[in-house]
Amino acid sequence: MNNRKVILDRGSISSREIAERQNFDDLVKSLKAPPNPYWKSVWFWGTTGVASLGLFFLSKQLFSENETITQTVHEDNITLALDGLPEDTECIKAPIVAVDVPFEIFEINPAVDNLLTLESGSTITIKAGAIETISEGNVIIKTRVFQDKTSAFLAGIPMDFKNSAFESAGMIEVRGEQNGKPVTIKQDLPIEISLELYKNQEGFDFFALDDKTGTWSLYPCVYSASEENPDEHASNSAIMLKKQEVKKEIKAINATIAQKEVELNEIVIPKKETFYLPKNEKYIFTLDYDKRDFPELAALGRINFEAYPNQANYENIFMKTWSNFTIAEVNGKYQVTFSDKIAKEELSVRPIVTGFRLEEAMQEYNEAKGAAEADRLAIAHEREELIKRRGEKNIELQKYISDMEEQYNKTSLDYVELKQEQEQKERNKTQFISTLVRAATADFRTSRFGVFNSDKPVAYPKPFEKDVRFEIAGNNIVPKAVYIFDLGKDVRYQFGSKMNPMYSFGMNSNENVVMIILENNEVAYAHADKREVMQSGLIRLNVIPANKVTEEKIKSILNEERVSA
Amino acid sequence: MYHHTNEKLSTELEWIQLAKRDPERFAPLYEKYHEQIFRYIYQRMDDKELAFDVTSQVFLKAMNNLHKYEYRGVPFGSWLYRIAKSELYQAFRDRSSKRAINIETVHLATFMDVFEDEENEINKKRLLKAISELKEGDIQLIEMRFFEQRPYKEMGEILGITENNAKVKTFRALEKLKQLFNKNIR
Repeated sequence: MNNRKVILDRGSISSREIAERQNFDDLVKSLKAPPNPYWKSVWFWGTTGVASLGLFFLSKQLFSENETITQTVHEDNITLALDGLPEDTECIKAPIVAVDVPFEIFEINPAVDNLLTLESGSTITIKAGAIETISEGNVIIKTRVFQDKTSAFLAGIPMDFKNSAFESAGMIEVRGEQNGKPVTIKQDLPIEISLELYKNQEGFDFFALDDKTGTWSLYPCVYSASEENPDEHASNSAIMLKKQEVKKEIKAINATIAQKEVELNEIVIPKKETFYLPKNEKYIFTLDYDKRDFPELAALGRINFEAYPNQANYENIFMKTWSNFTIAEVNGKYQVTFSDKIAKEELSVRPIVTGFRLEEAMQEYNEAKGAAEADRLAIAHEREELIKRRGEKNIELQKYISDMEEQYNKTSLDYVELKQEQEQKERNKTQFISTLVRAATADFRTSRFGVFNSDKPVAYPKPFEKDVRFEIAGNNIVPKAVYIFDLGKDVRYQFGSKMNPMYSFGMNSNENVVMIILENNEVAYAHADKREVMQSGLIRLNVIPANKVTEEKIKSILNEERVSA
Repeated sequence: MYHHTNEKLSTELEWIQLAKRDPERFAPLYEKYHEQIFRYIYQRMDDKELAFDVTSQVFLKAMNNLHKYEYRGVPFGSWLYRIAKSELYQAFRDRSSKRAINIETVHLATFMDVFEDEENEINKKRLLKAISELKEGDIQLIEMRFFEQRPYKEMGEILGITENNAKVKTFRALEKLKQLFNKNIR
């Protein structure tokens, strides 16, 4: 705020002056020279080329027992995007720049208790004072929930765990910031997250992502049974059902509040100008204008004019007697030019009605204003009522969450006592609970922002014994990274990383989708069958032009259109 | 104009495709958007020369990153505005330039109408103080809607939110302004 300056009535700058400052030639000169394709550079054929040859012969020797793994670079190869390898990039980076997954954004007052209900039905409870703020004022909480392979892929979430890929039952990313800078959570006041999962299978563990290294580690959480799986934890399920109902109600209330705010914003309180009513007596004057020139003014009957306020020359104009004046209409406003032999002054004015028309207009104005104000009051009242109701529902929801925690504490007390090491205890707790109940909601506490995921590691497929070629429109391509979406196991494998290099490329005997991100964000893909690929040694890919790459398109390829948040 | 007919949008897309292959073909886009982007920046800055510099930076960055631009159903301008916003804040950080809020008296009259209060010197001061106390996110919305008269659709495209969300957020910003205005009675 200190570094902000409010300027009133700064002079305008003409379009001509701006146009004169255009200098496209200078701009072109300042441009960076476009880089040569890497394989055409001297470096490639120099140091790197020699090194590659060395590596080639080395690998030939090392893998002499198996078939030799080679990659041939052709002149007609399509250049591929070089990024996309986890070890080369930041941990989370959207593989297709233009199609990232947006965050759901909440602005909260960190000094009070907050309960955020996300679009997906998941909730985040933030206690008063839990956020370590940078300064006074509100905090932004950004979150996104990933409920399918498409969204996790488009967001660039790494899904490898040791030598496996993750099958996810639900994942959430939560970030906090104030004035554009990240904030942290106080260790003694963790935030509570209730993540709605989209699968009910057993055997899912819970993990948190290390933002710096891109690796996952086990994280404690409580899984609650879903309504589809009422089991021995019936009481917990009953609370769960009630909790879900309340969440739905809160979501509906939030939507109605937003709608009411739109309606309030759209109510236009009538202006006196619209009814040609005077606003400021001291700026009113008469002009004997020619009615034939302004029939629209003549239609108003007897009128006066009122100068718009804060025109610096107003006093000067009326202290002087002018020999001539003209009126001009510009964009619905009237401009009066007063002149004599020496000087010329301009004044912006508007017509105002007088006499009986003034009384009529005042009545019309009052009626219109009264109606608009009544509407506004009614909608504002409805909004207030909804806010009150939301508060009540939040208290109810909080109660259910406390009940669930209590339930959990009862079931896990003996177990917790058995363990001494905190890290081991938390890890085992996750495993214990995941086998005890069927997953539908993952409730956990955390003192850090980041990505949390309910997962099941699935082993990478065995590599093909022979090389597989990739082809687009008859041209060979040598991809740096290839994604395999196994639609049967519901996982994404990524080849081209340190852990799973291209020579380890393989796929399972399920329905597979092969995907490669090309330069300029084009996406090449193919549906692939393991047996056919083994026989032909070839995968022919189709290309989606960059402007057609959308989340919906990727979802339709991965057969995930049915899944929605 | 910021919003276009489909025909104009497709012409613009052709320009973009050509410019992706040859930077010199960016010229029509530069000529079309230069004034809009300059005015957007100058509205938020006090230093005219610096505003021209930042405008050049915006176009330089746009040309350097044009290969990353993908048409997503909104005019090219919204992409430029986002770059402009980022460059603007970079300029505030790098060059110790102050964030400026430029207001015209006629805008103050609009707020007085909305707040149903008299247009006088005291209220003018109260309102200026309230505006200066608004948070950055709220001032951006007020600026775009009331000072620059942008439609909600365009605001949404520039801010990367839906039209409805822009309406709701603007309403809330206006409410906050009203609260601050009422707080500043003296």
